[in-house]
Amino acid sequence: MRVTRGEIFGFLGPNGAGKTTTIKMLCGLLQPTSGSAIVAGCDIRTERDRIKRATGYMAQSFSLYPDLTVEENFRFFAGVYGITGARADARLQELFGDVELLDLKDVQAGALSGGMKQRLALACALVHDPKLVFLDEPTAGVDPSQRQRLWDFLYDLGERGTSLFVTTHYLDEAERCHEVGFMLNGTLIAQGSPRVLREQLRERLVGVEVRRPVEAMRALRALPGIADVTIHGYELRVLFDACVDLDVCGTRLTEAASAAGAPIERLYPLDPTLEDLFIGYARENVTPG
Amino acid sequence: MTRNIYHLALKEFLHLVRDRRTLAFLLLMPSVLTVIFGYAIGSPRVTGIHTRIVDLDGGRIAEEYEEAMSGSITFKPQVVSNATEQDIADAEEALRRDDISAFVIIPKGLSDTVEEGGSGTVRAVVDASDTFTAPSVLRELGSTTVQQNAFLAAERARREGRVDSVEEGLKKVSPIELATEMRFNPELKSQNFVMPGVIGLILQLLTVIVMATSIARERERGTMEQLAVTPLSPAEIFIGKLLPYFFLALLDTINVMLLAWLLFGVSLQGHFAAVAALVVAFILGSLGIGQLISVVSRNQSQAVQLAVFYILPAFVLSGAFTPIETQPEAVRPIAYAFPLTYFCHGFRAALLRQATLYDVRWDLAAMLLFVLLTFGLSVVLLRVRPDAR
Repeated sequence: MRVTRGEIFGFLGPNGAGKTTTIKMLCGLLQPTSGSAIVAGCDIRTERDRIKRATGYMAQSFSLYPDLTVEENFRFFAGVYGITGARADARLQELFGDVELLDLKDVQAGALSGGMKQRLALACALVHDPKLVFLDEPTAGVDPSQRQRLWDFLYDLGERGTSLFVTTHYLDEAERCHEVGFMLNGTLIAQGSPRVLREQLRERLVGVEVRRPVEAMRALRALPGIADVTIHGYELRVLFDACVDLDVCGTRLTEAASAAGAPIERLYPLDPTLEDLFIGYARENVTPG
Repeated sequence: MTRNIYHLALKEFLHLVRDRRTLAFLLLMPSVLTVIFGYAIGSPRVTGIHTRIVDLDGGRIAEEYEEAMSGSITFKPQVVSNATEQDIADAEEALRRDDISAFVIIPKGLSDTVEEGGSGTVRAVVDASDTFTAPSVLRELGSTTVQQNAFLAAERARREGRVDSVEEGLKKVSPIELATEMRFNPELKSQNFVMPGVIGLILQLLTVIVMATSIARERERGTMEQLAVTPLSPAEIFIGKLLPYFFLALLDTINVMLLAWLLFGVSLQGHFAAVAALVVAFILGSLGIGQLISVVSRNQSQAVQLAVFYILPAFVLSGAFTPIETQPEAVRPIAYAFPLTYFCHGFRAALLRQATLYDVRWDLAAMLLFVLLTFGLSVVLLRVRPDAR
């Protein structure tokens, strides 16, 4: 896979797929057992020290010092990257301005809210102005408005030429990435822009309105040629193994549902989302496109 | 390199200052322990042992024997005069109840027999379940008996006209006189022996535990990962983390030594270079061991368990309280696996016998070897698995 400069790359996959391990290998934390990668122009097998200077890493869980203040945490990481004195002051003003932490400089990091902690962690990961930043679930446990602000800031960073490599479980966030990759069981099974990937599912996805969705779901899942059925209130999203004609398949669905005592009220084509794609991949029922 | 270490040391110092309770503990604990150990681990000599003298005889020789026993600081005897067989049974019972540690039976007619030139037997019954007091009782009774015998023999010699005075008679019957001179600790003050060991113990406790939890805490919090993605090298991480604790341990050393001097009059007249070198090498060695424990532990509780597992045998085997020579031959080699052993040995020599830097070179070398080994291993292990969980 390739990550283009200044773009946000969304790295998706179910829990345990190997996303965090991949990130750790890419930022020089782990030595890969096989395979290779070039990160910021450096080989991850032989130039781990150079990679560490060129990349930033924000871990999944809060990994700063709760007993130090916001400023002390920042200055510590600045120091170990060799940024001290006036340069550190300038960097602090700039980054804390960007992530809106200037007012909280003297607060102990442990006392911050989830969103603030993430912003501080991000500022610390960016202190040495890395070309590429790895963010492992940066918005986990952060409320929607804070997530929004964080993403606005990530776009800002991309504008300024920093590439971002982000894992997330929020698929609305994945939609905002320039490009996404799906990982399953340690293998990258799909990569592309969210729009292109989504379009693979067009004409394979049918919406079904039904009063008794649970019975209908069971009946439809038993049919051949159907990859998955998910319930969204009174709507079922039915994913077929291949492109289908709505009229032809509609009859099959209606018959099966009626037989199960859950007659279908309406049938319509659906706009595919990344969520459909993700669930499809995660169940390993869909062959990679 | 220096810059990176400075930033880490500063961070570690901030942790230390922020955690007021731990800081207070680290500063006060050594003083409290010094006072406790200084008073508690007093003389290795047992004094004031409760004993009973069952006097069936009631004569002059029995009385003199009783006086000799009462005059010794080893015993605190109660005398049962005009005793009967029943008093012997009572004494047995008292021994069983642990009211007394030994009793002595002076047989009926002993004085008369001895005055007439005959001999008799004084029986001593000793509680051997206490392996500390029993040997003291035996030794002291032995020397009491020897003295009394010499005195009686001298008296007899004077009565028979062979010598003019009892003093002359004593010289006749025990011709060898022992003249002793005590060096380095003439008052036989046990604190002079124990305190250097106690200082070592306290320093070891402090350094091993604080260092053992340091890396483990970063792992537990997930901050080790964040450190590992920075350009910091394992060596820089170790040295930076260790510096604040090194200075804290030095401060504690000075603290404890002053307290040992003020409270227990322990001499501080060693050669400065030898004392300083021993302290520095020992602190570094112990910090190194703490570090190694930290690197192989996944979290703080594991680290503390391992640290205790290391500290306890060192406590017993290193010779901090009792000389290594009091241990069975088989376990003695284990003692040489602890820097504390070399420290106790060298530090005692430096404080009490004014040993020079050259005199303690082997102890120093052994401790420096520990520093190198523990640091080297820690660096290698941390490089292999920086974020091991």
